[in-house]
Amino acid sequence: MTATTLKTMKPVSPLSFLWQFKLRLQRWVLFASSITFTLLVFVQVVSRYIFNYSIFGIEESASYLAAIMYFIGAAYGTHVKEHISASIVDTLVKPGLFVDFAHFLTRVISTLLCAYLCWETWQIVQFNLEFDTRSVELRIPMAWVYGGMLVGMVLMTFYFFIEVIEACTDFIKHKH
Amino acid sequence: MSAIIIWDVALLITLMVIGVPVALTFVAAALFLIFMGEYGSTSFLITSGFSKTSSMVLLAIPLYILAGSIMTNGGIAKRLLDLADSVFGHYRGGLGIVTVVTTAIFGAISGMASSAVAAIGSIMIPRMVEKGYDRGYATSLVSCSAVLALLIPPSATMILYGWVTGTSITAAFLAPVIPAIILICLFCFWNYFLTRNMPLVIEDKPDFKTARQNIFLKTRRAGFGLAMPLIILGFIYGGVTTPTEAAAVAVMYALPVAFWIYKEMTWNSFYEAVWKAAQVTAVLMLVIFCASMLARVLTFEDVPQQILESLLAITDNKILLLLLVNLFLLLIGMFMEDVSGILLAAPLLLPVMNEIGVHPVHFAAIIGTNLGMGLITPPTAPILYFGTLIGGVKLPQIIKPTLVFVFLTYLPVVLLTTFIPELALWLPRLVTGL
Repeated sequence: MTATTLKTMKPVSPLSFLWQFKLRLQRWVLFASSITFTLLVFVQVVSRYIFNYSIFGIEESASYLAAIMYFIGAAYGTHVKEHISASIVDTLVKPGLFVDFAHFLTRVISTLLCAYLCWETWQIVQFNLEFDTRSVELRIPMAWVYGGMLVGMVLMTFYFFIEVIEACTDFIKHKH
Repeated sequence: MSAIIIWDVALLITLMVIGVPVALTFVAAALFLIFMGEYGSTSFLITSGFSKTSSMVLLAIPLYILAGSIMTNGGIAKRLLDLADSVFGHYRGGLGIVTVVTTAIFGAISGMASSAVAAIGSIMIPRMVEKGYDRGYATSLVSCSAVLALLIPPSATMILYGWVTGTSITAAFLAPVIPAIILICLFCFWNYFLTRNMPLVIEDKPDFKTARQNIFLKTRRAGFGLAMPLIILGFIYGGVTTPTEAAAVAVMYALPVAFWIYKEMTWNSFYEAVWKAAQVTAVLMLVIFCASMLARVLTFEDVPQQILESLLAITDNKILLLLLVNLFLLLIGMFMEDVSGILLAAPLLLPVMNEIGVHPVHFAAIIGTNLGMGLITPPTAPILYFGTLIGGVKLPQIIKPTLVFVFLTYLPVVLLTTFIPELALWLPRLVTGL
């Protein structure tokens, strides 16, 4: 790194660093889990059809890993605003106060629904911790699996909440 | 049907229309029914969603999306377009045919309509405009033909249909193939007529020997990409692997092709292709997770039986019932994308289909073509809107050709598929002995 580059570099706030680190970590989890479950299924294909030997528990671990990935990925999808939506308001109504209010309302509803999902999953994590429930084949603690899902749901709620603040700001700006 | 169910549907539609993510509208609808009903606990919602999404069968979807993403980033689209161009490019309206054929093949590789619009559209729309095609028409053709990705196997939509209805996925894969071939032919036919008055630049036709050499060269370049769907289907229908295992094989096949044969993939683009594919999958899976929650409550409420009774109360004429089902599916397709549409409509309508003697594999083709048409039918039309972004046009510019494709291409195919069961059943019978 040259002296000029150092001079032109903007100082990064700890909050911004943490934010970027979290997003990078999410991308790494998505990458690593995708590669891992692909390899697990492929290894099963090779062992089953070439060596006539089925590796015990491989399907269970692949599908549980995928389940955790789905929620971490869905949270990332919320961050980049790529959730599947069928909104007609944005298509039929011109941008303005009404559209801003609709955005604000949908974000509030989404945050509340995600928070509800978090609460329900938290109950299940607690139940699994209390009774030490384990998976059938590999005896994986189910609290880990539901816990992974919960992390994704909490992140999703957090991103929707940020969208509520953004939508609220837009709505107030438009009103004035 | 009970008033609570009607209110629930109204809530679902209202939330969708104002823009709540589709997955969460399912949660809201499930919660509404739970709060209005006599349910002691709601803890079964998460566990029912989890038990469905952690299925090994559904793991095929992320794997196919990953294989398609690697192939797309590895540069398969350009090679497929060059091949189709060498065959059809020298005829009037040839570039339109190139677009349709390439989208169909690309759909078999990527399995996603939106990927087909992005990959084919970004190359083909500027090329078509350069050769005298109207930009709105080019965008409309790419968007409308991209829906073929849902119908050409291996298709994520058909995996979902098989999974949700308990129908053989290998048979469901084959059900919409003949309707898709008819669609391709109709697209080519209407492309010829719609481009008659456009000032197209048509390249000189090379002599037979040069043309043959050119086609051979382009086939060799695209061959590894073209082989992928054949390998997947060969593994599945040869009885070697399950669809999920075939998808893992496809990923492992796509890697060396993209890295070392096409040499267009770097570590960075690989990293990006994988996590982006995972994110796309995750968003789809969240819809499936939440739809499974709603489906469980709808089953508790006996909604499929209520729908069956309501439809049979209107008429018991098979033709009219099928038309009503088509209308219902079209409406669902107009408001939802294919995944949500399948998850919601398939389990609800299957009892009706069973009652009037429609085979579940035949219904796979009916639902596939209907929801495909919905993807390009306004007001929601997600693929059409995505196409306008890629093509750089406004919606009014593509509405006219799109309506021609909807009414003169998709609608006849939907009706043919509905009323001639053999179009959907012949191939599955031939291959899987249905």
